[in-house]
Amino acid sequence: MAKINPVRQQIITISRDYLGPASERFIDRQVETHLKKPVDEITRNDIVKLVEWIRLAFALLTNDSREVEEYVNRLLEVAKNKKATLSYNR
Amino acid sequence: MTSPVKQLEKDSLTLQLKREKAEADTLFMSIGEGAFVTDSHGRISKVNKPAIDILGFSKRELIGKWYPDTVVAEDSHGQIIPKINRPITQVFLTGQTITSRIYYRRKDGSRVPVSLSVAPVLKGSKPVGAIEVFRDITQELTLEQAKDDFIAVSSHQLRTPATAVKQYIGMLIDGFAGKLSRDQQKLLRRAYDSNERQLKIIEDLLQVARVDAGNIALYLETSDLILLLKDVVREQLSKIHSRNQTISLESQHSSILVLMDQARMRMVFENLVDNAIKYTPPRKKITVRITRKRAKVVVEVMDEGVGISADDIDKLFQKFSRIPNDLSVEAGGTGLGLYWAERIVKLHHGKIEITSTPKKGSSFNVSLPLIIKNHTDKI
Repeated sequence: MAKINPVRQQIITISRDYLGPASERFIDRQVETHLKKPVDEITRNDIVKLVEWIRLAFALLTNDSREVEEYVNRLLEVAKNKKATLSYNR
Repeated sequence: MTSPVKQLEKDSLTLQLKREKAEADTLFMSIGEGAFVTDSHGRISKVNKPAIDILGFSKRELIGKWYPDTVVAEDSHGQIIPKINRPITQVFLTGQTITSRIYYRRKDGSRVPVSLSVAPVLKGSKPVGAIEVFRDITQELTLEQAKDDFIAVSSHQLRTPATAVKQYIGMLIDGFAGKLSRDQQKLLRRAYDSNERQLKIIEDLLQVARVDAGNIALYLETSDLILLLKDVVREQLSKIHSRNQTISLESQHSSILVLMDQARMRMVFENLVDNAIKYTPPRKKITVRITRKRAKVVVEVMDEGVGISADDIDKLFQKFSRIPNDLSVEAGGTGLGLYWAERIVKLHHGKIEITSTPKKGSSFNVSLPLIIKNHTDKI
């Protein structure tokens, strides 16, 4: 059975709070496009670069800057190997 | 405390930065087309006069405002384009410069068609925003519409008398007006063939006019693609034999069911196989290969023909585009077949891709989804 990349899984789990069911496709596309690597090879070191693009794309989907920053910070926490559990209170 | 020399250097650097910023601002403001810059929060940080003129907003109404809500984008049917599909969002999803034709809603609520190009703004390799340049294409669209209307009307008007000519020549050949000499038969046969070609061109023009006008409704039904392709190949056999070519149909499956408009997809494949025949020299091979890949089916029409250079591949799907090569004069045609075929495949949510090597051959790959949701899609 194929091993699930935990970093990808964490990013997608966080993204679901903001992007809903489209998050998997959204994240995978961002990884392949901007990091030029297969989605299953993403590491914590890739997150900072990835977040730069995600921030801009997400900022065009919501006008709530606080939500954008919260999403970005939660992703960056994954880069620092912290447990990302904060949930946006809507 | 800063030494006077250091202070002087600092002042000089500040002055230089200010000058460079002023130059960049002047350059931005002098762009002849409308232009926006958005920041990392999707807010408009710069806008020039043509953009203000096109959209009817004041500068104050644009600067600092969230771009997606302020500049509303619509498609040709007047539907608001979802934020995720807007060109500016696609820039960050794809990392590419996006060019597109959409409609913007002006301040007074009217619509303006624009052709735009958006690119990410990078500081080093870090994306910090986007720049969009756009222009009003109202006049271009009016001209295009007039041209399409002209083609539609004129081809319709041409078809009726041309069809009558066909009937009368057919009657003459069949002896309705008395027995014909061999020379008379020969000349009338030529007239009949020329008239057939003329009708084919008129029919092509009409098909394209219908697609362009959005008057094509697909009649989708579950059909066997293999059966259809077998039929297309069988019908072309006499032409293939007359050119001393060979053709093979390859598939691992005996049947592949696809939701499609059978008549129109048939014409797409007839077009591709016909092109392969016309642009392949005698004694060469044509292969039609069908493969199933997950939720799609791919039909490859491969030839050992004259091939197409990389520069010309994009031109192939343009209306009235004909690529000159060793066989193009002999092959004839209107340059409408591939334009039409691509539109029909797109209506089936599929795509046509081409790989080609000049003087070695080409492969036209049509991929179609095995299931399509909307049964009465219109464009």
